[in-house]
Amino acid sequence: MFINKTWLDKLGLKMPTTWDELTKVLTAFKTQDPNGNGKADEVPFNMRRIDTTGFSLWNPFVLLNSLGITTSFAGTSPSFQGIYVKDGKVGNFLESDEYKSVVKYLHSLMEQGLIPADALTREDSAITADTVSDGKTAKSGMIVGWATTDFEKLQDQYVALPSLKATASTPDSEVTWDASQDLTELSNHAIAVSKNAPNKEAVYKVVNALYSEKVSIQQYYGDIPEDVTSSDNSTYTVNDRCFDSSTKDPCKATADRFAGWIPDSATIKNDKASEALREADSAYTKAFANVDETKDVMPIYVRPDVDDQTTITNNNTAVLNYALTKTATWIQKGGVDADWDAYVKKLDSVGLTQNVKLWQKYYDEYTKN
Amino acid sequence: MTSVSLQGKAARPEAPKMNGSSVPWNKKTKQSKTLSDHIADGLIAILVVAIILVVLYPLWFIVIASFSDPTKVAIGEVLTLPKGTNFTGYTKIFADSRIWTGYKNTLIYAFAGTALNMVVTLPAAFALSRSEFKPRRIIMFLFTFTMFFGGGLIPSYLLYKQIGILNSMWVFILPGAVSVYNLIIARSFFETSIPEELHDAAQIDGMSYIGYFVRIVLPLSSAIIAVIALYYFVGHWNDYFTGLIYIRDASKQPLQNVLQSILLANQTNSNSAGMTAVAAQRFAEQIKYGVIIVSTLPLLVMYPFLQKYFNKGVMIGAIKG
Amino acid sequence: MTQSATVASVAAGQTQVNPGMQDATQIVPVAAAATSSKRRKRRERHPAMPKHGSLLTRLGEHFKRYWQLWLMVTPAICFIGLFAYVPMYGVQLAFRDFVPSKGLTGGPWVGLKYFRQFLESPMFGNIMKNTISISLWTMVMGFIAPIILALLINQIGSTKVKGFVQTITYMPHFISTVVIVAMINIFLTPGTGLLGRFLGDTSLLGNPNLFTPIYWVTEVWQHVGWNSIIYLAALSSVDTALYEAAKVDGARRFQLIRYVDFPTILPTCGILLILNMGSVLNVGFEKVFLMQNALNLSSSEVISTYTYKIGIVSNQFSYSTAIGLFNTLINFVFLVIANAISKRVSETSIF
Repeated sequence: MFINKTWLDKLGLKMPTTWDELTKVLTAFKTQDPNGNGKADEVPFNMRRIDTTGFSLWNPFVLLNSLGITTSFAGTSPSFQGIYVKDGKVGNFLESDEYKSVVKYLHSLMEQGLIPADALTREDSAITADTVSDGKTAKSGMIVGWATTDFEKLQDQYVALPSLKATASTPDSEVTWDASQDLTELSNHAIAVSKNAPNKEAVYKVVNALYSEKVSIQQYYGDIPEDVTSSDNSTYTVNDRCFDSSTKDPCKATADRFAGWIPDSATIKNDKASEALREADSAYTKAFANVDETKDVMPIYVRPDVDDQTTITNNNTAVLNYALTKTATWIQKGGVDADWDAYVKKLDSVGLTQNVKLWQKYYDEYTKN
Repeated sequence: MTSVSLQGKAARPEAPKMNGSSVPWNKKTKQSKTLSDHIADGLIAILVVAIILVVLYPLWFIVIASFSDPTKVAIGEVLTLPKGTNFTGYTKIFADSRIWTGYKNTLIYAFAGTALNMVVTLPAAFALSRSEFKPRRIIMFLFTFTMFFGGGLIPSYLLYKQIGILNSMWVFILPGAVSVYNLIIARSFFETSIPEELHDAAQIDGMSYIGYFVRIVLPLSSAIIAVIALYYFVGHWNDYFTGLIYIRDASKQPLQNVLQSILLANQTNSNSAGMTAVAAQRFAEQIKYGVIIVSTLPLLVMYPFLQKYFNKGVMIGAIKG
Repeated sequence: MTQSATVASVAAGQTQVNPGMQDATQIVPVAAAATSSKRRKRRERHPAMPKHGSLLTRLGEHFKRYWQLWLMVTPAICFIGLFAYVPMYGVQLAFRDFVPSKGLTGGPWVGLKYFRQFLESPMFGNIMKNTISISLWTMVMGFIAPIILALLINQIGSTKVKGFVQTITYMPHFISTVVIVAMINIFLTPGTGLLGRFLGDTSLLGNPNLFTPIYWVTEVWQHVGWNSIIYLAALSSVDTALYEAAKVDGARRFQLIRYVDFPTILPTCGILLILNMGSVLNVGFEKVFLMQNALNLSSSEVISTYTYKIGIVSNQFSYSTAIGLFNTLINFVFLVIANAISKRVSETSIF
């Protein structure tokens, strides 16, 4: 989560540590014109809409972490379908009271106009437009995003917001944060060579070259010397313009996934993207200390077998279809308390309980050792 | 005395040249318009203008969006004129040299494909429009059946591989040689718009089916020929799927596939994190609009040439008195 | 008799618009009378085939008469036979458990398992309801609008304006679905959208009850011009003598449309209607998927998006083939029924 520090300072506010404090801050953003342009055009919480297929990256339910449920939203990890683990027990947060609390909170924000009324239908491009704005006047107070680089030219105004406590009485040990790092470390983007390739020797030479240090750097960051300056002792300095998204002459690099290997011995300087990430990460060290990597997160190596996976998927289509629609309606219009019991019953009848049981089975199996 | 003659090849009956007006009832009788005519004219004019505005505005929007800063487009600042004008969308599209191969390929596939389409579809439509041809019912049923049921992608792929048309120009032309939908439309036209009496006359004069078809039916069917040719041509032009699945060489890809790959190269999916995601997304929006213009312009240029075939009035069996 | 004289006499007797007719409305009954005399004439022109004689002689007689027609239809038969019927064995995937290593046809036969799975899925009722609702509305409105537009355009006096209007109205047909939905979003954005600024502070797309109207209105907007082309082509073949005679008999503009234009395009309407019935459950995936959001999902989940979602994580080829087959089977049944009805009510039919 990222919040506009410049606005906080301008309005003389401290970084919020609980949900109530956050509400107060957001209200101040809305009413006191912190971007100073005389218009009430601030978007206090620039929330992304809820997906129709599951919980994708950057959805607002990272707030579940404020209540002790550790999420893991990168990619298609089980968090996507609502599965979570706490102290070795698998559950689905869709039917949890914590979920109810988050929904109520979000609705209260929407009611007070702190989330745009059409947040649940706005397309990505509109959300990005409010995040990036025109590069001069900031529009968003808070977002759930990747790094301060999301804000492009305005990134200096924003800092990471450490995980909040739901209420002032929530014990510190209950506050966790989204733990997705496994997924991005162990991705399956690599090179495969067909066993029928004619010139295997030549192919292997190419693959070797790709994985060599210099070529890997160039894949990931850009050409040497135009984009990256190489000096002795494996030190590389990346050109500023590689991180300027509005430049007409971008660096030719993959910047995200590549078939290569950058050894730890190489020093990369001016890697603004990584630096931004590290900076964002550092805000959550305290929260991460409360996360046990095996007991509170579904490890990446837990994989249901084919038939059970099919059952899980089919159940999920019905479960998520129903749950997400209800969730969106509750956030928009309220009423979660009244509907809750019927909602949970319906979820169980379309396969939610069965899914949880299946995941528990595989979790136990894979974490036995 | 009639104005129809069938000397040798059927002479297409000439519509009498009146003063540029194509409205039928004004042709011969130069009656002055009554008040109700004027009211009708007025109503029609209002409706037409309304329709044009409703259709035109979004089209205009696409044009100006392709020149505007994508952020401004997303937040709704672009209404009547481009804002933050830049040509990045277009430069990214045309900087890719594959675009010209794409245009070339599409033109070849579309023209060759349409030619084959017409040669195969029209005679078949005619034959199936003959009510005395008893097998036509079962043939039509078998044809229509294929509009609904098919084996799917994999059997088709294996078949094309076996007959060797994969990764070649022929995969764009041969499998789609007959569109049953177009066949049905052409057949319906032949059934209803060509009076059977003409066939009677032709038979008396000893013309065979083929002769009748070539010399009499075709010349009188310019409207339906134009429509079917247009449908087939546009079908070829917009075809993205064939190139996607059955073509490997980039040099053989048609325009739509080239445009899609340019678009994709400037996009990321939601799983790509990092600032590249935000950065690339911005131009993808603008390119989206530019792509429409680039891929549609040739078609728009072509259409007016076909239009005159729809507007000509046909005078079969004009009589006087 | 010379050729021209033959045709002249035939043509003279053909159109039974007799001068001295008092009322343009008589054109219609005359046309009806002409139909039954058509049938009579057909029997006169084409004496029936001999009923007796062995199969071989009858076939021989048939080919002697109709070899040219067979020649004309054979290329089409060959193409369709090869490219549509040969691959059709793939349809059995819907009845087998797909095992990748055994190929398309190697998996064990499971019969109707996947069909049952679909019918019993908890979302089946909702999906079908949404699909049918969206599809029917789009079909009906998408059928009527081009006819009205064609009749309207046909009334325009100047050729230039006519051409201009035609070109403008068919252009939207070429816009890609992605751009259309992007525009829908932009125009409906509250506050800044062209329409959205008047419609409150939430986008209309968040209202499940409005999903179907937004869908079919934009569908009609996009395709009405293109779909009217076929009707305009049909209208261009109207016998101008009919106009003259009707006008002479005092028919006004609206009556001309009703009694001359409309009957001319009726056969085309009929065929297109039957063909449209054959897409009764086809609601395209792309547009619905892009317009879906968490708020309108209860109205916007259709067969095609459901099939997509069950396929995301595990590739369930057999299941999705079965659903697709179910879909097209219903479409086909509708087409056959529509065809049968049309045959009874009018003379137009596909088979």
